[in-house]
Amino acid sequence: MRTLADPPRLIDDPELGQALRLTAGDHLSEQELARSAEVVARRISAITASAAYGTGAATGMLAGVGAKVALVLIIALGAGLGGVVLFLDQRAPTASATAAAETTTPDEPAQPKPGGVTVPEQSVVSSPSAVAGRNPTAPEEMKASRPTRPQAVEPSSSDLPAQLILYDEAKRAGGAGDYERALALLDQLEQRFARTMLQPEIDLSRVDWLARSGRDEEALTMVAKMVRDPAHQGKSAQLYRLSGDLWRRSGDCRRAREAYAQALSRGLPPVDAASARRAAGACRQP
Amino acid sequence: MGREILKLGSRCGDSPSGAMQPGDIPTESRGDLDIGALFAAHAPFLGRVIRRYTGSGPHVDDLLQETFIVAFKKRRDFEGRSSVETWLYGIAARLCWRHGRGLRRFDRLRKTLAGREIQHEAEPPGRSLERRDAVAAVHAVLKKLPNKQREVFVLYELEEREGNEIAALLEVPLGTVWTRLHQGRKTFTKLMRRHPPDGDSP
Repeated sequence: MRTLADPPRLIDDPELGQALRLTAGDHLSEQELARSAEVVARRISAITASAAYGTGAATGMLAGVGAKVALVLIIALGAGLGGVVLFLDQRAPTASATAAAETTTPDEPAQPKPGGVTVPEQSVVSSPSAVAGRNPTAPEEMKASRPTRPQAVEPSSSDLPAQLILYDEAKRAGGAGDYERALALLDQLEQRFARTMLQPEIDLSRVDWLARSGRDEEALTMVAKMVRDPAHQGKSAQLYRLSGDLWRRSGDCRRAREAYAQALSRGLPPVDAASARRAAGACRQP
Repeated sequence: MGREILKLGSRCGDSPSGAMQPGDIPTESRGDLDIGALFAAHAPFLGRVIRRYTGSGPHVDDLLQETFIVAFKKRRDFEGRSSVETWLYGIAARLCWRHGRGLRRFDRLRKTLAGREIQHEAEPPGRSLERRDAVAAVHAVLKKLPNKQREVFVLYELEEREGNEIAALLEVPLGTVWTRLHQGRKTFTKLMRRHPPDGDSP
């Protein structure tokens, strides 16, 4: 069942719908699934048998541990032709025997990084430079410069495409280096759609463009709020790192080192962590 | 040994509701999942997404089988922080991306040696020509999408999952699902218009 907020599907599109419908109807056949089930059953049998034999736990296996591994396969058929039942009864060896004997080859690739929106991996603050004539204050003391959000409005089903188009336009402007326009488009987006579900993406883009356009104080204010926001929990390490870069650029090495330390404690990827450590060490008070 | 009931698609931390419902997957104990029952429950879905992520061919069966073998080997690593479906999907998706990377490296080598385009799409026999062309065209375009966009596109457009289901499956925020879908649809539409199934380019 589609929720109100879900956009219309391309499968209903007059131009592309036919090809998508044909593809959507393309399932693995019963025979293909049954074949795969058989192979899986055989390979699991081989693994468990090898584990028991390898550790001399055959006796224990035959005696039974109470862990009966039954591979029961029932293929649910959309066409209602009936079912295929494959039952393979194996007594599993003890957990410790299996763990000792099973090979632990790295057959599964590394876990992907959590979260979907990327904060720029490279620091947007390329070199530390004192901000002449300015005395940067801590983020908590700064006031936000962007307009406050209007009262919350429930999003309608037609809002999402418009939001995405506007956000897309902002990203194009930001990608072209027109940060003022990109930020103005984000303001527009937030004013028109107060409770947009794109808010986490908007926040990350905004702080990125503020930093790139040299609006360090505003960027630091945003980062201070974002690291306390559960929606950005997965990006807190990168956000603290950005904060460190911004403080370093402003010449406040104490705050920069504190921010880098926070970033490192939250788990930066190795390359970023090395870069953060170097930056913290290299920071020199003007 | 205690029995924990895992509802299909639900988080393992949820309290069992009592009587088993259709789709509930019994487990002998935490860390000893019933792979057979998991195969019955999830193989059709995983097989479809594997085919859509990697195209048709004998490798689809291999990747599907490998998903469950990996799940069996890693069954004690499943801590129940996500649903079983999310866990299995993650295994299948990573195998698909690794397969794609390996194939591209192999393709480059073969192209260098043979000096020609490599076709991997192996359509099962018995399909109508129109259907084969349409499905092949969609698969070819899907392969050109970045992995993250392809995932969301397939799950939303072809599997007809809801946005919040996809967000739970991929463990990303809902807004991320929509931005990836938006980009994926733009790219998909552009490429399909360039190479429509009937072979006539605009």
